[in-house]
Amino acid sequence: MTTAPVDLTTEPDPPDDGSTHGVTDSGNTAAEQILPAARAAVGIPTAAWLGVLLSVALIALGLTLLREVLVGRTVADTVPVPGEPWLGPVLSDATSVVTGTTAVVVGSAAAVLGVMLLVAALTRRPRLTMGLLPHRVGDLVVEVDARSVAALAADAALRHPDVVTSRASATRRRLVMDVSTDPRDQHDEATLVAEVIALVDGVLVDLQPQLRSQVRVHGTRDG
Amino acid sequence: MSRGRIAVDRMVLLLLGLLILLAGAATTVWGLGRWPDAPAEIDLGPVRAAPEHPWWPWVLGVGGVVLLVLGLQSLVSHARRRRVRHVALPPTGIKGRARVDLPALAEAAGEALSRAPQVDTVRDRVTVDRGVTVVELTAGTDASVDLHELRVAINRTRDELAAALPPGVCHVRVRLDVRRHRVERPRVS
Repeated sequence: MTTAPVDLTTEPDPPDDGSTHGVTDSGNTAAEQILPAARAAVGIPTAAWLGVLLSVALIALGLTLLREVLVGRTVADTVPVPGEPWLGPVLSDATSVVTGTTAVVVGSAAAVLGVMLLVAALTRRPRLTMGLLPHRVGDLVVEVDARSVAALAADAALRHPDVVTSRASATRRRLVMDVSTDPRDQHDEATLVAEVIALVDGVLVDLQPQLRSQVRVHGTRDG
Repeated sequence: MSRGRIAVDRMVLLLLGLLILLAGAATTVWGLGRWPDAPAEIDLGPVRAAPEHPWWPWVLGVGGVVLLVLGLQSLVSHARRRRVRHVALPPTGIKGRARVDLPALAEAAGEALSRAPQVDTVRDRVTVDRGVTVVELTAGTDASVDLHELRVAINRTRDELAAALPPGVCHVRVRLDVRRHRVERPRVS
């Protein structure tokens, strides 16, 4: 795909005639300097979700400890708190811990949990979108998620004259398309796959990162 | 959720993970009987006797209150969203303070973009993303859209928004939300 030449030389400010300020022949570059593109959208990290779980656990533990204090007593000399203590009987039944299988299993499970927490703490925030790169200097990168990429790909596949239905699913690495053809139509599957991929590549030519495409054909008869 | 909150979560998880890993590894080594000079049996007498002590209810009460407050504070800080209303404009040397209503500008930009024939709907919002104020427009469109024409409309909207702002106020992000309205080619029998 050829790109039109872009004049990047600095131009004097246009006269104040009520026109849009800053928009010149290289207006895209000026607009990019005033309003630069934000970094690609990212999701909530695993550490934050675990932080929420930890918050709930702290609240539950706090309420449990307060219940242990209040149960069996009377609040403000009027309201008795019903129920039996939980922690006291459990602690009273504790005798000793000994070396053996139980200690090894519990210790190993704890070590694995510790490693998982460390990994979760260091995991980067998930990338949510891919980018449609600009054609010209100063154009905006447009973000698109995997579901939208799949929709674009499936619609592009449908432009092939032999394709009757198309569906697609995408991740940030792969694009899988399922197309169906009319069994009465005679065509070569390999050629059909190549042509469908070419159609999809034509639509997603600016996508970054580029995806590995796979086409599965249903209802075709080898020519 | 702010970057500070996420940093605290990472630090807490790091410390907790390290603690649990070390405790688990030590327990495993001890359980295998490989810990030099360690007893094969540890008596839990002090733990068993704890509820009998007069300070036990105080420990439960103070501990319960502290954990409850910590947990609630943590939960609220996770749920808090930073709302951006008015943003101060960079100083120009003239006395006084000027502010811009960014959500209103974002809404106007969204309405302008929605007038493009390639766009069905637009959602606009202003947020703080990794320390930067961002005007985010999400354009809903059909999968059969001409992407080139759509990008022209998006760039034009960005240019109009840039014309209303001085440099350094915010960044912009445009996202596409593509829907399919046709799954099957109409067949002529």
